[in-house]
Amino acid sequence: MSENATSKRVLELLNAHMEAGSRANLDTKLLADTTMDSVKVMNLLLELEEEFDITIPLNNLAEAETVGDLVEEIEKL
Amino acid sequence: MGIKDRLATAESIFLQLKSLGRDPSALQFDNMKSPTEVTLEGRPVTLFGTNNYLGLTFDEGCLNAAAEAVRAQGTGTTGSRIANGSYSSHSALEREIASFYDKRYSMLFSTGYTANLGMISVLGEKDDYLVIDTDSHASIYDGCKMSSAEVVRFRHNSPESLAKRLKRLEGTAGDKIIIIEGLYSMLGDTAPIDEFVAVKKEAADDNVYLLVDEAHSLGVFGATGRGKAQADSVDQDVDFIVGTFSKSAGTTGGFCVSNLENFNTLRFLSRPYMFTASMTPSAIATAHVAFEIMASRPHLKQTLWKNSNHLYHGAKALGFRVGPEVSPIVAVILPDPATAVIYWNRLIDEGIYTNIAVPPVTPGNLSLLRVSISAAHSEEQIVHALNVMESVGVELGIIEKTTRVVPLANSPELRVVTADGVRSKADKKPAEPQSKGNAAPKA
Repeated sequence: MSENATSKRVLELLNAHMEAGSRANLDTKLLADTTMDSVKVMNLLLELEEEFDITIPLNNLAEAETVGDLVEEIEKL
Repeated sequence: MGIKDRLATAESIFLQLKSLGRDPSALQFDNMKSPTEVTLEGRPVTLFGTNNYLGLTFDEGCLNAAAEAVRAQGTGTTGSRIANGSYSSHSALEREIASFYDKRYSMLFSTGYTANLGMISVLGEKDDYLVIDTDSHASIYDGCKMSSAEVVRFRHNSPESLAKRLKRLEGTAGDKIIIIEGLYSMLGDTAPIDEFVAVKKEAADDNVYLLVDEAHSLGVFGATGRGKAQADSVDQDVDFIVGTFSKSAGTTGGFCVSNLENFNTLRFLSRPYMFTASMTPSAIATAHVAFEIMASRPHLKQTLWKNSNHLYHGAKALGFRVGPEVSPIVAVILPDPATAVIYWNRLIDEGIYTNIAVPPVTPGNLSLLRVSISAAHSEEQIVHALNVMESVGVELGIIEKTTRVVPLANSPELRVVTADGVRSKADKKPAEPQSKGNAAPKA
C-alpha cells in the first residue's frame, strides 16, 4: 500500500516506541521486526484508538502482521 | 513455529533469568507451620508472597470442617455437576454466597480461573462486545478468547476511556459487557467502581452489563467483606460479581453471583462449568466456614489493613518506590528485570519470600516485587521484613543508606490511610479506605 495521512500518523506513533536509530515502514512486521513486545503493541493500539477516535477490536488483529496490515485495518473502521 | 522450537525459544529466555538465581516456579515449601511460616531449602522463611489475606489456611474451624467433610463425603466428587450430579453441600454453599452478596443467584466453579472463563465465555456471543480493562487478569483475557464476541479494551482504571468506547459502540446491536477487577493483583491498585457504574448508567442501555472480578478484594474491602464494589456502595449495581475461594477463603473454588433472570440456565451453556470436576467436599466446607468467619471476626480485616498500612508506608519511608495506593498487595517497583531477580533471590537468602513479576506480564512493563500482606502477620514479622528489605536494598543500591530506623506500626512518622480517606499520623486508628456508606449487611 502507498503512504497516506493514516499511514504517516501510524508510523509517527510507532516510531516513538522504537529504539533510537531504528525506523519502521509499512512493511515492518510489528512484533518480529521491532523491539516491541506484545504489551507495547497493545499500548500502541490504545494510542491509535485515541488518535483516530476508533475502536480496534482485538479479534481483528490476528491477521495484522505488518504496519501496512494495521493501517488497512484502521482504514476499514 | 512448532512446539519443539517454541519450547526451545521459551527455555532460552527463561534460562537468562534462571542464571541470575532461583527458578520461581521450582521453589518447594515444606513444614508449613502457619499461614506465614514455612521451610524453604532447609531454612525457615517468612511468607510475604501468598494471597492468604485473612490468614485462614490454618484456622481451627476451617481445618475441622475440611477434615469432617472429607470423612463424611469423601476426597473428591470425581465428576462435573451436570454429568455426575451435585452434592447438597454445593447447593447449600451457593445459597450462602448468594445471601452474603444479597443477590438472587449464585453459581460455583472449580476455581477462580474457571469462574472467569465460565462466565465471560458464555456472556459474550457473536455480535456482542466484551469491553475490558487493559490490565485484566489472564483469566479474563482467556475467557475473552473462548468467546466469539468482539473484544475492546479501555485504558486501565479509566472511566473516561470506557465512556468513549461505549459511545463509539452506541447503536450497534448486541450486548456490551464491561469487565473490571476490584483490586488488581500486580500493583495493588483498586478500580473506582462507583465511577464505572456511573458510566454504565449514563449509557442508559439495558444491554450494557458490568462484571466485577473481586478475586483479590473479597474479605478485604467493604463493610461485610463483599469487595471493592461494596466499599464503593455500588455492589447492587453490578450485574455479575465473580470471586474465588483461593485467596481470603483459604481453599480453592470460584463463584459468580447475579440477579439476572434465568441465571441458573447458564449452567447448561458454560463449558468451563460443565466439563470439569466440581469443588471437593473439603473445599466446600472450608469456604463455608471462611464466610462465617468473615462475618463473625471483622477484626481480621482490621488487622489486615493495619498490617498493609505498616508495610506500605514502611517501605515508602525507607525510600522504595511502591504502588499507587495502600492495599494488602504492596508492589515494590525496581529499575529493571535483572535487579528484580537479584533482589528477590537475596530476600529469600535472608528468609523473606515475596513474588517476582517482570515484563511482559506486568502493567506498564514494570519490574517489581509483589509483597503481599496477611492478617496473620505479626508486627514483628513486618518489622523484620522491612529491615531485611532495607539492608538488601542498600546492598544492591536500590535505596540509599541512611540512618533512618524501620518504622513500627504505631510510629508517629508512619503515615496511614484512615477511615475518612485522609492521610494522617499512624497513632490514629489505621483502617481500610472509607466505605462510602453502604447499605446494611445482610446476615
